[in-house]
Amino acid sequence: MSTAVLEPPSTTDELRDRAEELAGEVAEQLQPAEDRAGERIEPTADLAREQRLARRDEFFAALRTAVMSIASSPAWRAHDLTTELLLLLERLRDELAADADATDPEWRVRETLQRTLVVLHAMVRQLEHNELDRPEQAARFVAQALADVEVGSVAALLGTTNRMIGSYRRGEVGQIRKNPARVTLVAQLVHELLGSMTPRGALLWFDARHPQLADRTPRELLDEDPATHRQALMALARGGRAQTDRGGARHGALDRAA
Amino acid sequence: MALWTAPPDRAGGVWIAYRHTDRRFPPLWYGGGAASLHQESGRWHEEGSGVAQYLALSSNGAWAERCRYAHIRDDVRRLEDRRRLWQLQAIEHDVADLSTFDAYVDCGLAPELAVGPHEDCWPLADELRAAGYRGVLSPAAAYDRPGAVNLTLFGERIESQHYGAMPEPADNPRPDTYVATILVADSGSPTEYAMRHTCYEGEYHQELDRWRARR
Repeated sequence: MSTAVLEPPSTTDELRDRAEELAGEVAEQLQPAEDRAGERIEPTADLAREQRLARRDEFFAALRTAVMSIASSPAWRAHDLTTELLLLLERLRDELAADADATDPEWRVRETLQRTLVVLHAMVRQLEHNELDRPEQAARFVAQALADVEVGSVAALLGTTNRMIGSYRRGEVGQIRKNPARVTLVAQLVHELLGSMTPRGALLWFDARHPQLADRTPRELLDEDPATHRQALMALARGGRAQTDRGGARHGALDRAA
Repeated sequence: MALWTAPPDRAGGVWIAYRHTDRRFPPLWYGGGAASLHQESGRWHEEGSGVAQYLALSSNGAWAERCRYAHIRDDVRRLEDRRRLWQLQAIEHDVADLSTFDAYVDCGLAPELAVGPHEDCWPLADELRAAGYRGVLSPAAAYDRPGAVNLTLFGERIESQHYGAMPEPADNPRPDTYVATILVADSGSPTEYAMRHTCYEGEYHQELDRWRARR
């Protein structure tokens, strides 16, 4: 990261690159806990302290420059995530000021950086999802993400022909006139699912019955009307982010007896 | 009026727990504010009202949760699943001990709450939070095996990731916020055992049935 003034990113690609780069820099600062524990146990000499402080100040200045650049972009200026990012920057400033030895014994600097990283990743995801709302981008994404799946299956999922899938896989995507709502929804769903399963697993997901969909399959809902069922399908695909135990069991013999 | 006739015992200690996640996300729920912290409803929290960390006290318990949520019932889908599995060290206090169906009854609570619909648990979850509990131990709804228990922590927690052995609890300077974690599997599938012993939505919970038969 540089501390030089950065122009606000003006395109989606620039925005994503800037956010991803910043996320990478923050992640790099988050060294394994074992290393920091070592610092706590053996307070370092004054010279090392000065070096740590200088390095930390340099990192903060660069972080601030990068955050301000993202926050100044028209796309993010009024976004809630930007507010969170700026507030975290200020919180980080306070935590650094309170940590005179730059050893962060209570992991408060670390905590602020971890929260910053979550916000940056949320920004990147938002940009990726926005991109997939464009049918042409969506078609290209699905065809390439499911490159190992037989062409006919992908064509059926998108409601198009084998020939078109071949073109999409080569990156040749013209205007999508047929089923654009279906294409964008399938892309958003596949994007979510690939964090939890293989491309073939994602394809199988579309044909599995889910209690959350009243025992219907995602493909049945897509065939019926993508717009009507978008929310339910996205909730199901996104809901797999982390462990929960949705729903209830039946209560057994005594309930029946009662 | 309280939902319970007697408050649950308050448990404290160090628990080794497990949890699975999407490969692109950190193991625990935290963020910079409401915009970056939005968790779908679960058994012990309602969407939009804070977050909860759902942990299982066995790795198969975590995988059973996955099988139940994703409705994975055969090897074809099971072996195409690719999740992260985390081991966690929770150092906690004031955890409501509802780890058995008997404990529910002792508190004047219906044991069906433990395995029934999530929304039935939300008033109890609210009451536990209001009474200062930091989490709850409760029989697992998904992993239908004797003694299977889930530990749910109320509110945000942050991971302290480790790459060797699990550290000593004393190495954690802020166990109220930080949870030591080890990534056990970066891209794993649920075990066959977990799948075979998953209680799916709408099915009978055998452990609850057995417990009731014994009474």
